[in-house]
Order: sequence, then C-alpha cells, then structure tokens
Amino acid sequence: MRRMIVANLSRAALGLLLAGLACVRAAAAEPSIHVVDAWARATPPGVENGAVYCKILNNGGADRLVAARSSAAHGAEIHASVSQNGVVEMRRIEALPIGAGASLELAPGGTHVMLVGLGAPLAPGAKVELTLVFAAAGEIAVEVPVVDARAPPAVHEHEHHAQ
Amino acid sequence: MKRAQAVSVGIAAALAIAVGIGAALWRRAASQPPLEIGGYVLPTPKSLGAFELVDDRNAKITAQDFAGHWSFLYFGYTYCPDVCPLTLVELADVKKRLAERTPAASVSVYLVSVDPPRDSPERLHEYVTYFDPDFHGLTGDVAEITKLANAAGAVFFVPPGQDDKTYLVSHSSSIALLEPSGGLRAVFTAPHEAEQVAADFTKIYARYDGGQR
Repeated sequence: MRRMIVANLSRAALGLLLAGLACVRAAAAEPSIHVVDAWARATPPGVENGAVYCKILNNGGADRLVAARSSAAHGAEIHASVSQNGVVEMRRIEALPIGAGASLELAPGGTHVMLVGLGAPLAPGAKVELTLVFAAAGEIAVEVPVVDARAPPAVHEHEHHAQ
Repeated sequence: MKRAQAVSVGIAAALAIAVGIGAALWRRAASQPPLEIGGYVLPTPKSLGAFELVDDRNAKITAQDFAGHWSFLYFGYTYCPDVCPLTLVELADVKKRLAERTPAASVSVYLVSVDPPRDSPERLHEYVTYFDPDFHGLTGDVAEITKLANAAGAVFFVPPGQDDKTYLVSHSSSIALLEPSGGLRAVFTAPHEAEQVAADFTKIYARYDGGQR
C-alpha cells in the first residue's frame, strides 16, 4: 500500500516536471513579455541620474520585473515616485509584479527605471541599451531612444512635430 | 455734565461710524468668495520672514529680492530624475503661456534646492537654465532653505538608511506662488498641468495685482 502511494507520487512528480519543462520550452519559443514604447528622458548637463519609461505587455502567466541594468549607467533600479500627503518620495521597488495577460505602463511621475550614475548626459537622438530581467520570462534587451521632453516653444506650438 | 454728554455722543457716533465702515468692509470682503484653483489661495498674503540664500549666479538672496514681481517656487533637486524635470517642463510651459495671457505681469520661476550638499550654484545654473534660460536656482544652508520652505508651506527630508552619494530626497510636490509684495499668495498642489496653473494664475493676478488688496 505504502509502496503504491510512493510510486504514484513519483509518477505525479515526473508529470509535473515534464509539464514544467514544456512551459519553459514554450516560453523560450515565444517570449511572453514584450517591452514597447520605451524612451529615456534627455538629461540637463551635469545631471547624474536618468529615467526610462516604457510599456510592458505580458501575454503569458504572472511574472515579476526583478532587475534592470544598462551600459549607460553605473546602476539601474526600478523606482516609483509616490505622492503621499503632498510629499513626493521615490521608492525603490524590489520586484514589480505583472499579472497574467496584463500590461503595465512606466510613465513620468510614476514607476520608472532610474539610471543611477550616468556615464555621460543622455543626449536627444542617442540610444541607450537597457536589459530588463523578469523572474519567469528572463532577460529582455531593449534599445531605448533618448527624447528631449521639454515643451516646444510657444511660438511654434501650432506645428506639432511628432517626436 | 453737558460737556461729558457731548463727548459720549461723540464717541457713540464715532463707534457707529467705525462699526458701519467695518461692516461695509467685511461685507465687501465676504462678497468675494475665495478663488477656486488647483490648490489654495490665501485671503491675505503671508510674509516669508527672514532668510539668506544664494542663487545660481552666486548672488545673495533674501526675502526682499522677491518683492516687485510674481514668483513661482518649486522645491526639488538636480539628482531627481522623474518628478523634478517633469514639473520644471510644466513651469517652463506656464511661463510661456503667461507671457501671452498676462504680459504685464513680471513672473520669475525658482527651483529651491532641497539637496544643498550636492546642488552647488554652478550645478543649479546648468540645470535650471536647461529648462528655461530665465529660471533661477536657490541653494544655501539647510537651515536657511528650511526657513523659506516652512514659510512657503513646503517640507523636505532625507529618508534614513541611504547611501551617502546616491541618496534620494523626499519633498513637497506643491508649487508656491509669491505676490509682488513678497508674501505667499497661493499654493498649487500636484499634479501640475501647465494650462491649469496658467489659468489659475490669471485669476489670481486679476484679483490681487495692483492696488486692489
């Protein structure tokens, strides 16, 4: 009786393992996470920190953004600007959960990837390499264009050039 | 006795007149409902008190330097990569809108550093003029900055347990508006949107500029 249970358990374990491997293979074949519309804010001269914004689309199961790194900066951290009682505070986020089939927007004034210790100012038109690390989907490399986010001069306001 | 009576009547008359004037003034003041803006307007301006700071061109700045023009004050720092640039872009936009809408108003914009150990006048100058060539930066001793912040209804602090070089500073997200008397007239609360702030300023300017106070 006991032996039968053990045998059944090992069969179940083997089944789970195979199912797990199948999942990994499927994930490798078609990435479940897509990072789109990424941009970095061009930085004023002398500034050592930058910010990257993007949209994260998750076509797969629940996942977590757990780390970031960039060749443009000493470090890259996931941060959120949190406003509470009229005081804004930047909080470092260890892991940013993203639900199954969900999308997440990293936008100015909210969650962003902070580039800490820039090697050089981020110049408009340049591209920044960024790697986002997800717990399940693994590493995703993104090429991030640097955008001058200052408002266009009022006299040219009617022209509305696409950035 | 007659004379005392006459004095009493005189006092009574003076009191009646005073009460009448007071009531009329009160009615006039009360007939003006407070302006509704994205934030709040002070019915009487609040004096900033005394402090001494240095600007981004290394000039000494005291409370008197805010007299004679309208001032937008934002408390932030150059190591702040997200909300500070975002707010300064909006303020540059506000300034452009006001140049068209209230061209007679003299308007200055100040970034007051909440991180004086890292924000030198030179660094602030590079930073603020990136957003608008006319923007000003203010820095100085933490104690002096705190005086101005308190007077303008703003707070800032360094949350504990951070690295000495890469620390972040928490700070008020509001923008203070000083009127030409040098006193605090309004506080705009976040989120800041240039059109809203410009429209709010136009209302405040229409009511409080000139000798209408």
